[in-house]
Amino acid sequence: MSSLRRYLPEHDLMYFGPSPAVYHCHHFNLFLDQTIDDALGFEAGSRLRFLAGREFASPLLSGVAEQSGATTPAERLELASKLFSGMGHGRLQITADAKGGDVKGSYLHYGYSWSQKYGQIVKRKQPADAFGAGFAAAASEVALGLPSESMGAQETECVAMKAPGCTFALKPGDRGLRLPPVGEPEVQKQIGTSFNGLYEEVIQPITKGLRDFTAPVAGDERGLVQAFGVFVTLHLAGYYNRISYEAVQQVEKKAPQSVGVLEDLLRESGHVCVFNTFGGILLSPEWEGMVGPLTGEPLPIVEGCMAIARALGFGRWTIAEFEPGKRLVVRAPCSYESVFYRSRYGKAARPNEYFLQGACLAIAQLAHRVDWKSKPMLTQDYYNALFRGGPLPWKVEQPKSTACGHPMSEVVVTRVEGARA
Amino acid sequence: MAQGSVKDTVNDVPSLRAVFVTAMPDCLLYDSWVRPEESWAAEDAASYFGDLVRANREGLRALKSWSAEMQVTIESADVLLIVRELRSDFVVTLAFMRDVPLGMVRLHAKRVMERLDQLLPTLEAQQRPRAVKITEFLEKYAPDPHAALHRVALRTGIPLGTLRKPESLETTQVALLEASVCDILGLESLSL
Amino acid sequence: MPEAIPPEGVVLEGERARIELENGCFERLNWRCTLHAPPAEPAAIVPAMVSRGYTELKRVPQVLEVFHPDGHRVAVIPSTGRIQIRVALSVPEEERGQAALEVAEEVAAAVAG
Repeated sequence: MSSLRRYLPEHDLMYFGPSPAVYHCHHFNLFLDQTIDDALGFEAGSRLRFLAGREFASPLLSGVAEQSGATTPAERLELASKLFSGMGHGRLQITADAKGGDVKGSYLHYGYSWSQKYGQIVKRKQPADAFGAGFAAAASEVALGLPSESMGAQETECVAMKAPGCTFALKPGDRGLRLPPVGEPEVQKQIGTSFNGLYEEVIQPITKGLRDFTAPVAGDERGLVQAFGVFVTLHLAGYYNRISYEAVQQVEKKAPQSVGVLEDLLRESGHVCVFNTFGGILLSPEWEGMVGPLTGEPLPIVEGCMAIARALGFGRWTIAEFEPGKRLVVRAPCSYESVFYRSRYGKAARPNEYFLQGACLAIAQLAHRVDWKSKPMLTQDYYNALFRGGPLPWKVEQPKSTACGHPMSEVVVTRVEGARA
Repeated sequence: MAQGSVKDTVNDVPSLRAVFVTAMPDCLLYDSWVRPEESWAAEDAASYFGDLVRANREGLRALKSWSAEMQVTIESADVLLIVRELRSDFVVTLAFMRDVPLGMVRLHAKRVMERLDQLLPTLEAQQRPRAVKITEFLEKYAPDPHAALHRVALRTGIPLGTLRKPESLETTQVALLEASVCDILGLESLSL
Repeated sequence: MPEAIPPEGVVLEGERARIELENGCFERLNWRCTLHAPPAEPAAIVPAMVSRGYTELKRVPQVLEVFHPDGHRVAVIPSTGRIQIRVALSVPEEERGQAALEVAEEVAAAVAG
């Protein structure tokens, strides 16, 4: 697993095999999928999530199969299952031939973490593992030498719906649009000159330490990665980007009045991710050992968050300005969002790195609103207490984005005068 | 507020930790008394007890076993709760120390309920717009309450600003709101 | 079904150690351990635990970790003395606090020699 992970060191982007990849937690994954379904409805939302999973799993699976010399269908299906669990997505057992097949899933990241996070509160009526369905469909295409974008998959039982396990039915003839790839060559074309920001002497060694530490991390006996208080996945950046940007495009066409609220929710997925995952890392014994105990000062939190973002493959996030209690400006030569957007859709009409925006907002809030010395539990109740009811004491704007053709992406977070503490 | 106070009705009950009086049918906190050393927030708890009694009533009706005299007893790890519908306009919840014998709890509860029945006024049922109740229900039970209204806005196409004034929603918008709240919470219908 | 974690957290006291549920652990897996008689050198916990059947997991020198065949792990931060007990996933959630306390007592016993 670790030999498949590579970084673009100057840009802090990551590849897994031939595929652009990032680490993301279950809070982000669940919130983003939910937002897509809220925007498009479950049928269209899960269809898009399936298509994106299938599209971006395909080059990963064929690339790694070729690299590892797996040629027979059985070898390739086994390899697919190993990759899936190694990435922290749970366990898949795929039985398929050209006529279709079936898949059994256990501890699937989406369904299992949904039942852990929400299962006591909400009754779910639809399955949660469209990404797993897409991955299994791509795995069977690659294993059986079928054309890509041809195998369909439907999740028929799901643990999120209180079934004992997840099952999928594979059926050929489900044609999707062949879209231009967004792999390593396409990413390379989109990245410009990199640059550094303030406090690099602190940020870069932490980034390296975190990368070294996470290199051997892979799924446990369940095929899950449970670390820092969250379930972590090594995930395909193209999946996140396609579902986010296609959802925005569809809402722009069908319900333009709702675009703003969709963008708010896409930002919120970044916000919830940083709060839980970055916060969990900062509170961990590993952080204390590698970086030192938290002082409670805002600057080390912001520096630490820049390092975490880089180690997770989000891009070279740099501190351009930081005035504690007032203002944070983050710049990046590109992000996993902007390189995708430029490659697939061309220049954006407005800055649209939603994850970056939500994440920077959360970084400012982590730095100023969390009492780190009290060793807080970053629970849902704590999150609600901090962020429920408005207006929030910090606001975020993105004046520049490489997706728009600007030389850098820039996000500005400022304190709202007169807002609550 | 009535003459006297809730505190006066429980002065001689040493094992009592708190009293919550919930006004029905809106499940809003009407009055409370909480022992000073407790960290409970009455506003956070009171509305759930109203919902609890309502759900209990519906369940008993489904079993054809409903009676106005019913009360709910909850024995959790560190508290013993008695929840009772006091007339149609109040639900009273008494929180006792966990180690008090149940017979003693019932005796105290009966006395306190009788005193509260004398103390509490008769409320005029206030007819609040259904959309207001739906929105309150959503914010109380949604898994990510800070984002719940955004989710409804995205699902229904109703602007966020309009949803923030639920009393002014049109009939068709109320239907859309209710359907989306049912979907978000995984419910067939809302018990309001 | 285990009870919800109260806002003030969960603390369990043993004879020779105290454990406290740590952040984000909605499955009650990770517990901060405070020994009543900590060793002068926190790193000494590792060989002491190895002598009791644990295996050292070598990753980075700033974070020491040992694991038991049953799946429990103990992480030690030499620079600060922080000890975290990570209970095996196979232990049912409602029993994890007690399992963590038993590991904490074992750490204390190992250190005491």
